[in-house]
Amino acid sequence: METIQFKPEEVKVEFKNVSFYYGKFKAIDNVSFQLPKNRVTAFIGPSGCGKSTVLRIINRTNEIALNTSLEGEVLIDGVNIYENGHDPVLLRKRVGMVFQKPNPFPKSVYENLALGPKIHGVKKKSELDDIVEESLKKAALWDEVKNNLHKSAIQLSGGQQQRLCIARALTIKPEVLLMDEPCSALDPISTQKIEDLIDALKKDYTIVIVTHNMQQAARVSDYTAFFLVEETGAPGRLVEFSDTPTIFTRPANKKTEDYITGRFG
Amino acid sequence: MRRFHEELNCLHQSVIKMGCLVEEAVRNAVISISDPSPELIEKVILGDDQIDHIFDQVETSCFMMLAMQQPVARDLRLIACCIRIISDLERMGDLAINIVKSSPASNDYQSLVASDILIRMGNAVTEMIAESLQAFTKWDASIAETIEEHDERIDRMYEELFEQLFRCESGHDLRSAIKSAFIGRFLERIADHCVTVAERINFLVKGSV
Ligand SMILES: Nc1ncnc2c1ncn2[C@@H]1O[C@H](COP(=O)(O)OP(=O)(O)O)[C@@H](O)[C@H]1O
Ligand SMILES: [Mg+2]
Repeated sequence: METIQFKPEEVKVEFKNVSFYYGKFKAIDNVSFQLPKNRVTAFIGPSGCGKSTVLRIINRTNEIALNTSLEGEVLIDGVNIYENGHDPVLLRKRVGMVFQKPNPFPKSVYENLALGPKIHGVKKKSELDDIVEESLKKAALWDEVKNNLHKSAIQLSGGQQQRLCIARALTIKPEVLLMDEPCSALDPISTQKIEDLIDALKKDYTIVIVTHNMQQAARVSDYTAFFLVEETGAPGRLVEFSDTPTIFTRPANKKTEDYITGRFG
Repeated sequence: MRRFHEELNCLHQSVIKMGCLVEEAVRNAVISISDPSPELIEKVILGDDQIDHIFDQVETSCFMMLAMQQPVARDLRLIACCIRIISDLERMGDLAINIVKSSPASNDYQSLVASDILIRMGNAVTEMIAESLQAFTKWDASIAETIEEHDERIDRMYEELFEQLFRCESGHDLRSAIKSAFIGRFLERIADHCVTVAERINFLVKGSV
């Protein structure tokens, strides 16, 4: 497997020989990689190759499904997050997630953003106000909603809703931000805003984005991981992990090249 | 995507076609050194229009593909390689014209000084073009080294040519000797273009220079 070894102090998340099962079904097999701090890593590959599974392993939301099991080690800052005693709730505070379809709560913009911090113990109104403003600014949404903070989030446009969801993920001050096809339901202008946002956010976060848009992966990411199911029923594997310019100009693996140039199947 | 890949195939074929026309032009130009016939000269000069025409076509379709398809990896490398190779080929075509214009039939003298060396050089250069085209057709990176060696041989023949020209008897036609020097220079330039073409094929295949 083609992969990159980073310096220990550069690594935020590390998978060591990770396999994952839904019941008896092995969804991913022996996946190893490192995600560098303050960088954007894109996950690409055909549907069903386990990209979302890998994302959900990072914040342990996979355990919500029944009968799942994991082999191998998943480390954040060098600590195995699957070790006994590791609290998944605290972990999810450190690892934020944004989904394909914007999913704001049917409440006001303000409530959407204040909820997370409230759950995590922030009570003072002024402090909540600050968090709301700061996260909206980071998500490049502040100017558009600052006069309407009590408007229902459902009334925002799709692109605004998605930025609201990003802002919501930021309110809990995560260290890692996982984005599962965050632009697939958005128009080109909203997509561009999210891409600019990703670029601006990477100085503070370690970001992973799953995308089916090759050009988007090429534009926004520093590193790209290509996953593939080699035959039906087989688990997904990591085929190549390289810096993004290499993946898109001279991938090491022929399968990667076939996929990104549309020569698949 | 399939249509794009068909277009890429056509692009590859067009550049090969252009290369074959250039090879033919150079071959004819070399023949004109020893066997100057006005028809051959006209053929080389008129043939260049077709070379230029393919150049324009290929260039346009490369830029269209870059704009419309956002090609990556081997597709991107092929397009980049084609854009660069065609300008080398185009220059080689022009150099073939320069050669025929210096040949005896285009001038009022009977034969060229040191034409045996020029012909040897010319045949070697034609061979270099043919080999480069083969490599481009087959995505064969090993060509770069071979072409490098050929080029050194050409450079040695070029030196040999000058040795011979400098030794010329004073009775020799000076204009003819100067033409020979120019033709040698044109052939040497063509060989240099072959070297760049070979480097570009190396980039096409390996993705690095
Ligand atoms: N909750 C689940 N229960 C059972 N199988 C699942 C579940 N989620 C995903 N899978 C299976 O795991 C494999 C990987 O899925 P997923 O991670 O969603 O891939 P991707 O995001 O690359 O499309 C697929 O075969 C999928 O059907
Ligand atoms: Mg998915």
